[in-house]
Amino acid sequence: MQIQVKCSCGEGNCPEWAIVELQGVVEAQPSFVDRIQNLQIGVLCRPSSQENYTFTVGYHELTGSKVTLKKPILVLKKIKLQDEEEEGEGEGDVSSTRVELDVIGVIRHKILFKTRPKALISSKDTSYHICKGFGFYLLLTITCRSGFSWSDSLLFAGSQPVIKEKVTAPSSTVPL
Amino acid sequence: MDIIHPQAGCSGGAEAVLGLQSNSSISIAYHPLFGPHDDLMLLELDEKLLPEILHQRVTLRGQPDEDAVLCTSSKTYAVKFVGTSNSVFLIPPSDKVSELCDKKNDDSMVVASVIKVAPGCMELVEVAPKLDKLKLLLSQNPYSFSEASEMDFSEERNKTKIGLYRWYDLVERLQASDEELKLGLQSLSAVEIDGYWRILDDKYMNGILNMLLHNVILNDWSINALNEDDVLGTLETDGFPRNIAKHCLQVYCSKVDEGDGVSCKWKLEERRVCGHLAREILKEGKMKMEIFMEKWTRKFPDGMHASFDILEGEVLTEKLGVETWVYSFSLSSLPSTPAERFAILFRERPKWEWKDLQPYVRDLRVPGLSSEGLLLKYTRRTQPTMGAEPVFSAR
Repeated sequence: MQIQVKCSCGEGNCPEWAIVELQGVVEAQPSFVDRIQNLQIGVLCRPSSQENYTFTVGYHELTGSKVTLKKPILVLKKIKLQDEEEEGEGEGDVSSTRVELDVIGVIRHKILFKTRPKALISSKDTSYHICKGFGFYLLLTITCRSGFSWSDSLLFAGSQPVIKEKVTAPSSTVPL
Repeated sequence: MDIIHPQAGCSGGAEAVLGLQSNSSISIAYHPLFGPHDDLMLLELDEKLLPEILHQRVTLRGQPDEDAVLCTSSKTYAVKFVGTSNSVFLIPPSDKVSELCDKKNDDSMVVASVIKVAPGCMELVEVAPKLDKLKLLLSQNPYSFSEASEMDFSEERNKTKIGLYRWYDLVERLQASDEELKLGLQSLSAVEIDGYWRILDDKYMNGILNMLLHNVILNDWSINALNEDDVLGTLETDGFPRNIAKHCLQVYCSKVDEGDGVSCKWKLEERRVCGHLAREILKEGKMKMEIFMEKWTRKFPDGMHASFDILEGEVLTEKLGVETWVYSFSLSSLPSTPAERFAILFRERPKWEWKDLQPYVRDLRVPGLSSEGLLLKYTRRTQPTMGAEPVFSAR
């Protein structure tokens, strides 16, 4: 079985995708869980000319930076094609669907947030970052994997803390 | 995939994120088509592999029950999925339509939309090609004298193509790049007959070589300057098709560079010819060294001189009482994966001296592991006394 990898964008024209990465999980409030399409997650700001960024989600502000990836990441799309002709050499059932992997994008940079979120208590708090056009489309709760608790966060009592990125052991079978 | 830009605000896409200016901000939202999108995958790879992908030279190969490998034109990589507990928001570039979006007139913020949260990324690890299966497949139906003598019964044969593989069939079944597969076929001395890759069975191989050596004597040819046309011509009259005769030359001889361009000249390769002769003699089982040497040297063509050393990697010796016996133990019959190779070697002999072991392990290739590393990983090295030869045994 062969799966062809191709790039229909044409040489050098692969569009660049972006990644915003943060530790933990962003969850929508229960009432929004089934219809999160179009809803805002947060606001990404770049306060100065440096490559530092803040990402404000709900009541929390994360700080991070733009990172150039050591190795580029390709975005692949699995395509199922129907084969018109049949093989029919009597070798058993021959599937008439072919799978191809199309390279539809390349990622060379990501905005990575690895700090502990800062809680934004009130609008009068001077620790608010100055960003234009704040709009809360929904309230999001950030929950993170196990660890320590955010002692400075009144709003998230009992929630779990930020941990370093946990990478699961490489598995050998690729679900294709 | 249709990426419809969201209704609220101007769709900025990945460009808006990566090109965010100082003192500005954008909204990050879920794309209207946000979802699991299991058909979207991330693959991390070296910059130098990008041209191979863009030129359509990369495929994933393997059977559905095997681990996937990615093959370029010359190398094979295992594909590993590495998960992450981070939230990796994947943001595609914006549609061309949204470039018309005039930010000045629009009060709402530019929006970059997340199409998917990626659970992880695939990575590549270079591996040795898995070619042991090639020998298995081609051994299902080796080309033999009986098949060669069948003339026009080929129509019947066409209906039962068991154990017959074209290049494309091999590519579909084996986890190796094209170049590595070609080398694998070469190492098996496989030949393409009627579009199918075949190995010649022992009798046939033996028959054609013996015919060649017979003709050398008959025509008083020089073994170091065999004329290609003469050789192919006589073998053809002896019943061997030209392409197979040519294949015989390639297996047992090497081309001699001649500038005249009239006809190629070939010379018999000692190691390959004598190795074959030894295998034939030892087919029935082990033999006393003196008897073997006598039979073996008697079969040498005129002008060929070879010592026993030339048979390293083909035969082993053992001492039974005061006598030394020789038996066939060919590298070509051993598996190519290190773990299996060492298992068989240590089953044959629990302890090996380096001079005996080396011919049977020097061809092992594991990307990222040196030959010392290989020995360290699979063997235990002991030195019985100071100054004595080191001995290798199983771990």
